[in-house]
Amino acid sequence: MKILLAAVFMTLVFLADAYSSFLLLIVFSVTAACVAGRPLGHSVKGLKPFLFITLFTVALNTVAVSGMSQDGSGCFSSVIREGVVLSIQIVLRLFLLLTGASLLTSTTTPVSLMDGLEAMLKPLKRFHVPVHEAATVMAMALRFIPVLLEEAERIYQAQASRSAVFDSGNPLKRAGRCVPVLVPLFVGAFRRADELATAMESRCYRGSGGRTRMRRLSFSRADSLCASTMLTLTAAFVCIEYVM
Amino acid sequence: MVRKVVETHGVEFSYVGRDGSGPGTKALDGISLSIEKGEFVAVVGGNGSGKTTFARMLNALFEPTAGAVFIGGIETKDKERLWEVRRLAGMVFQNPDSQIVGATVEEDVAFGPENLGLEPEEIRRRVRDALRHVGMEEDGDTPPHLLSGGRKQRAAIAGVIAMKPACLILDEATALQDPVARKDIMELLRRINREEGMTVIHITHDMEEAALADRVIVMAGGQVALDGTPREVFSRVSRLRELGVHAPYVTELFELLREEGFELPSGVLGVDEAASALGRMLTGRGYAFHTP
Repeated sequence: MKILLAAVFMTLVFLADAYSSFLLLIVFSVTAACVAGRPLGHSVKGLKPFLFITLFTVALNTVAVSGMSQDGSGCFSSVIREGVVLSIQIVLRLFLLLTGASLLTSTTTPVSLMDGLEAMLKPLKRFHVPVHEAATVMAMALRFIPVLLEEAERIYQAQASRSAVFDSGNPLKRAGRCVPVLVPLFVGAFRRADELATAMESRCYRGSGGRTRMRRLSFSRADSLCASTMLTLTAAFVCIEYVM
Repeated sequence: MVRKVVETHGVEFSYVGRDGSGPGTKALDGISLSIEKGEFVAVVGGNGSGKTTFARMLNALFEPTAGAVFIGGIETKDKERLWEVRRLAGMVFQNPDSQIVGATVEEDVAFGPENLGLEPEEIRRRVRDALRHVGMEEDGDTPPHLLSGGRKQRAAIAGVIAMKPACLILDEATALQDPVARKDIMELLRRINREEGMTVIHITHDMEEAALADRVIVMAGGQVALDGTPREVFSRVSRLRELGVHAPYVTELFELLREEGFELPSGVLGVDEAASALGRMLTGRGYAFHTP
């Protein structure tokens, strides 16, 4: 359900054009973050890694857009302004997307996300798409990220203690030096996968057939509230964008 | 209820050679034994003695090349009842990291019952009970990678208990744990064995752990070399040496002292027992001795 709402939200973000609709979306995402009980500072902090990419986009856009419409409008300064406006829009768009996405992932555990996705894609089963298997693979991948990170750290240290150097030289050399970490990591991952498969099998896992879930996904009141809010938002958005 | 939880008749197993040609060396060579309900069995043996192969045989992960294995009266070769066998023979593996499936402890414990196709309410109840048994009611929502090694292994045990197996098979489940966690897990296993009458088959390298079992099976070269109470088995120090294992250190020390002519009992287990035996001997020789 949340996935669907987030998807709608993101579509809106992409479609947004007018300032007022941007304002509306910002207000919405901020209130949503507040309702979810997450301080806004947190999501802003989450944006930091994207700062560079954002700045880069801004710069690129300013240049590119200016370049593109140079012959269209005569006045140079207005062209620059157009580029800046567009890049501001893009920044806002990115910000909104990220807050939306982080709102989704921070309020929902990966497993319930996967369950949701599985339920959503169930109709595809008719076309022999292995929905359950795909969802399980995703869930496993998410589950093993911390384990693999830990292992990578251990291998890194093991190699470093045998005087491997990782943090000097040019980027290409550095990338080359990752190989002694990556190779054992992959080997380890495969071995682990094999062990995991054995363990799952010994706990009677046999694919999707005959499996039940402890948690039934249910459409709660909160969900319908969210859905109606989203509907209102969409309506307001459509009004601003196309009617006004 | 079938009294014999595990029964094997002349079980042999060979790993197929790497090129898929003929059978390689025999990992198991004629194992016949039976384990009754409620027993606490330790299986020990050097590396390559066939302990792990034997464990996987019980869970139908491997099929015997000759002979037969029965779990709760069901033959493991019976393809139609394969999943029943797997449920009855609950396995806990060495590395908790590669057997925990769920993103939280609760989800992981629920994994087995979910696979059995139980009703959500029943799963919930089993998860609660299993977590209570291992003393982890508080950790239901914790992601497994934030737990200590010992607690991860407890969670894994809970995951198996939730499937209500007839026996709990631990394949070197304590090998990667620190001494405190080992002791913890052993106490947990003994408690489940005592209170729930759960049959436990504990494969281990740790002789002090094996000494806590009711019965010790020593494997060597794919065969059962010794089988008896810890007292019987561990009193045979030189035979154990031949088999590539050793008795618990205290037991071994006392056997060596006996060989030197000291009047000490045979098959002493544990430090407390050793201390009182030593005390009796010294008092008998006229020394003043106070048991601490």
